[in-house]
Parts: sequence; C-alpha cells; structure tokens
Amino acid sequence: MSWQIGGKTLNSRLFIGSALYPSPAIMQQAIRTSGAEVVTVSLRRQNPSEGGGTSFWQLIKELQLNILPNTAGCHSAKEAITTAQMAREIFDTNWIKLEVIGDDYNLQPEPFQLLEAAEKLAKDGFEVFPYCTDDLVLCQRLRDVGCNVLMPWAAPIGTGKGLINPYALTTLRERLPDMPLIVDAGIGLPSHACQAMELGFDGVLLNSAVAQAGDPVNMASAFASAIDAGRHAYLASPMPEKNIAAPSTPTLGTPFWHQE
Amino acid sequence: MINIFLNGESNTLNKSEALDIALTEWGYQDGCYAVAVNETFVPRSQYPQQLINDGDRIDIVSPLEGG
Repeated sequence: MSWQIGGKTLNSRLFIGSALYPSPAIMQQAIRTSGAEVVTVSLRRQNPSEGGGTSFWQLIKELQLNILPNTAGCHSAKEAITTAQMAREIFDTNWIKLEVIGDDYNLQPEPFQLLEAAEKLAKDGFEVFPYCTDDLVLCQRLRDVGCNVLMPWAAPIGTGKGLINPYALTTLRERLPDMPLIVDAGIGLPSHACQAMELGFDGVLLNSAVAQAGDPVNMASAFASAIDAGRHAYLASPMPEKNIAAPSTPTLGTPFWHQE
Repeated sequence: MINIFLNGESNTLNKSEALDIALTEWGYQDGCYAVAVNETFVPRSQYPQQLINDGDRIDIVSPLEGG
C-alpha cells in the first residue's frame, strides 16, 4: 500500500542507510533486498586524489532511489544549515535528514540547535526530516516551525537496543496523530522495527542493524518482512491486553466435567 | 602569499584569487562536490565572484556513506 512522505509516494516504509557494510557490493545487494526506496548518505571532506566520492556516489545512483542526505557530525545549527545547503546542491533534493548532536557519548540530539536549524531550513524550502529524541514538547515545537515529518530515536545511534521508551513513543503517536513519524536509530532486531510499526509509526530508518549483521542481505529481507508485518498488525487493530486469562477454546461441553 | 585552511589543513596560495581558479589549482574538476568558505555555503554559480582571502577556511565535501 503506497503512502506519501515529503511530497513523494512510496511503497516501502523502510528507510535504509549506506554505511558500515562489509563491501560496496553487499551494500548494494542489501539495499536492493530491503525494498527500501529511500537511502541516506552523508557529505565528507575528500581530496581529488581520493576520487572525491565519485565511486560511492555512482553505486548509490545505480540503485535509483530517493536520496536523503544527512548532516551527521554537526554540532551547531550553523554547521547543519551549511551542510544542508551543500547537500541540496550536490544531490538536487530539498530533503535533509537534520542531525545536530549535543553529546558525543550517546550522540543525543541537541534540541535547541536542532530547532533553530529546522526553522531556518524549513523557511528556506527544505523538507526537514529531524533526527530528534522522543520528547513530546520538542516534537511539537519541531512541527510548529515547519517540519512535516519527525524522526524520534528508539535508542542511541548504533546501540541496537530497540525501543527503550515505548511509553514516550506511544505518547508521540497519540498526541501527534496526523504527523508522519519515523523511528530513527537504535533498532537492532526486526522485532524492534515490527514493534515500532505496531505502535502506529509510519516508517523505520535503520543502518547498523542490517550493515553489521553477519549476513546483511538476509537481515535486510528480515527487516522488510518485519516492517510489513508490523504495519499490517497496526491496521488490524490488535486485541486489548488483559491481566486475567481467558480460554480461547469453548468451555461448554468440556469432557470429563461433572456436577459436584 | 596567503595562508588558508583547505579541508582543515594548512595550505597556501600565491595571492588572493577567485574560488574557481583555486579549485582548479587544487585539482578539483567539474566533479561532485560542494564548497563552504568560513562555514558558509558558496553556490557553484558564485565561485568566480568568491575571493579567497588570507585566513579563510575552505571545506570541500563529496558524497559518502551515511546512516
């Protein structure tokens, strides 16, 4: 079932990263197998003698996917805005995965600089995909300054811990019912991605969980299935959880029962 | 002679000159890159007008893997 995000129509709800794969060939194969239609990339200093990123960019272009450039490594609104402007020129897209890091230990987003950058970039015509924490008020402010999608973390980048605060993510879904929400970062297992989708999130962005698996291609397939399963489960309205057991087999006509 | 920083490393130019000329001297052709001078983005169309001055910090970036 297709859906809309950032002015584009997609079929897959998996956004995938392009880093940390064992080889360029495995990267291409894993991304293709994932069915993802959006791939994240970065900008880094390179010298002409190193090929200037040409070979990597050629591999990505061959995939013919939507490009979501990131501002990874930026620690201020100024750095992030400049990186976004450079990305728009290189990749010819107004999409930007806005990352402003506030703490290098857990790579936690810097909410104040993130908000400042998001506002300026949105006014400048960018479609801002902000990597943020699961703080409800921050997410509301990001919406208020022009973000049409939010990307709260499940857990710190690269930890693979899964949804460390399901309550906060559930609250985001309930309080922002019309805002596209994509869980970004911290996913380790397909079951984590499935859980996010079951909560009603619109998509999942991940990288390490596939790239650092023993078999990235097979794991990409597993994530595609899990995200699909979670989406179907959400649409199917799961049964309410209860504390008291209730037999599923009819009790009427149970053999060996007799009146005392 | 002016001193500048190119991608974070000390470098020199014989004199202040336009960014497009400096890029050619440094070996950058019409490739896939973007430029910032003193952390401010310089659109490609502005390279001929962007003068590189003493102490400027020039960043030249290209696509690379990212998550």
